[in-house]
Amino acid sequence: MDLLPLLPQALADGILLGGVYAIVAVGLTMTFGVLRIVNFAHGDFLAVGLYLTYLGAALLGLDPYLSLVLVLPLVTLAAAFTYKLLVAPVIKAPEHNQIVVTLGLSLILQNAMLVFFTADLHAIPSVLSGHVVRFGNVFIQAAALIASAVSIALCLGLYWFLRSTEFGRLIRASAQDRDAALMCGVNVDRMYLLAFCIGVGSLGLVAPLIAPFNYVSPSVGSNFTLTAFIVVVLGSMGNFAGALIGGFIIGIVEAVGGLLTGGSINFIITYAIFILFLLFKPEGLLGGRRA
Amino acid sequence: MKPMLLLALAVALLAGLAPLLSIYGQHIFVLVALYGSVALAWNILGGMAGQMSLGHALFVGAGAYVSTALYLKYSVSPWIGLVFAAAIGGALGALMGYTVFRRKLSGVYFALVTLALAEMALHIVSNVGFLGAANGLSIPSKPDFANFQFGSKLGFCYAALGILALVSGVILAIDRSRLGYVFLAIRENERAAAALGIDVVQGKVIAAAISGALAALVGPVYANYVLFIDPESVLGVPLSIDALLFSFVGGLGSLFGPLLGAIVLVPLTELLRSLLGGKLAGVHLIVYGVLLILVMRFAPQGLWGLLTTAIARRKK
Repeated sequence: MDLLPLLPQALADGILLGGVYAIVAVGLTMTFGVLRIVNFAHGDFLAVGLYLTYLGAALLGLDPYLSLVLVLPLVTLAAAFTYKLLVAPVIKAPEHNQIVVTLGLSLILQNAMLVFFTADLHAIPSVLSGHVVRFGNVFIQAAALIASAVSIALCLGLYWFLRSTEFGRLIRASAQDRDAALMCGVNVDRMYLLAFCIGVGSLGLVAPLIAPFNYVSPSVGSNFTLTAFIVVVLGSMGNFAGALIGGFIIGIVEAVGGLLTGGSINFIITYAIFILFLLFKPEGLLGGRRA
Repeated sequence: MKPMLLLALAVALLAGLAPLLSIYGQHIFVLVALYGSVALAWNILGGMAGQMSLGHALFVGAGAYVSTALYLKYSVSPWIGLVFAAAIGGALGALMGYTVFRRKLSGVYFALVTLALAEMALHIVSNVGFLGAANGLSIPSKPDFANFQFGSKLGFCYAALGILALVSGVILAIDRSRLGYVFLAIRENERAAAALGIDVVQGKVIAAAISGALAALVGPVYANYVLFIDPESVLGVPLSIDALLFSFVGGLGSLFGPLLGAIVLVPLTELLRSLLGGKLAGVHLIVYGVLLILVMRFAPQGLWGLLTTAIARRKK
């Protein structure tokens, strides 16, 4: 079979997927860059957002795009509670303990969803579900286009926020040197809370946007967590631009790899890239620079 | 030699206890011994040497697949399969340790590499027809000592106890040798250890190799007990998490805390399962998650730490 005509389609799919990966990874990299916490439950908050969207559709008949106004605040609130209850107490604990706490949270979230919603796959229909945009030979789902565009815009918006606003400066100060920031009168704890809420809360924005073209299941979160880790390591931990670039690379690798090999073999390619990067360039593509 | 004597005594006691248990009790006995062995093996690298792995399923799975494939395809007795399993596990551990630790990766990077390696192995095995791909491998039931299939559960009790005794013996031997101090020095302060002339990389590689070899030994016993293996059950993330979880809940800093973790948590899991009767599949994992967080917050030394401080207080 000649695969060449299908390549543009795979590339387009990969870029769209990459945009979503990028924003999920940006959230992860933000919590890591600022709080130095590796959040193994990151993707599970995306799954929580997806189930909230599902509930909005099933109980209230809300279109995913409408349920955004509910899901975003709820996920952000959940992030705030998580920070206060679980993350803040271990912020100075050894790395092992932090990892174990977020792993525990991931177990709780994933299995709570399993208990409440069973392992069944759910689709969440939207007015845009069937719409397809055509560019030459490339067909693109309108919903995927919106999700990717918003994700990229959000990445850039967050970058601007951190670079150019007063709050952004305070967050960066807290990230750079906790004690120095404290001495300058920065409320570091509040900045950590803010960073965690933005990093995790952004998933509350992403979830309803990807809902129209994704299935929801309790394990969807762990897939995203692992992919986000791969993206983050690829693009250098704590680096925004790196997460964006890494997202596109992994998105394209997955889509084109899926085209070439079919089946689950393309996961092997992604993991192989990840392991090779960890071994030979653990500082990532963009080195040690931090945004 | 006192600890070794105590170990022998404990093993003899447990061996005497096993025939008195009901069939169900023996089933729990086997599970506790097997999970306890994996957790103890994990703890050699994770607790004693301080390198947290999120991929120990890789070793258990490798052991299970090596011995099962040898038995099914080449009629090699699982008894010999055990030797191959340990060799493969040790080699994988050494290779993983060497590639990772030589690069001075530690902490979360090491955890991620191990997680990714185990996941990659899962996806590879899921695509290899020779190993049954995603459907797994079934072992036909032919109870015979040479086939590592025992007529009763009691046989498996002794087999699992044998593995547990071996793992415990190795841990005691390490603890009493220079190697134990090397591990301790690496865990407590890598730079200071290096400054004292300890080859840190070599120490960690040895820890990974021993840990991998011992974890791999559990694979063949499990495979022949259940008579079925598939990628999800022996290579999946949940198994890796279990090893870590039992160790943390039981007590990371101690030699035998991980076993205590398995002794408490495995029966708890089975109890929850039988109480809920197959419904609400994830409940025991929610309990695990809560326990993990509670232990981290309020008793970082785990159950073992709680127990020893309680005993110390009684003595006063």
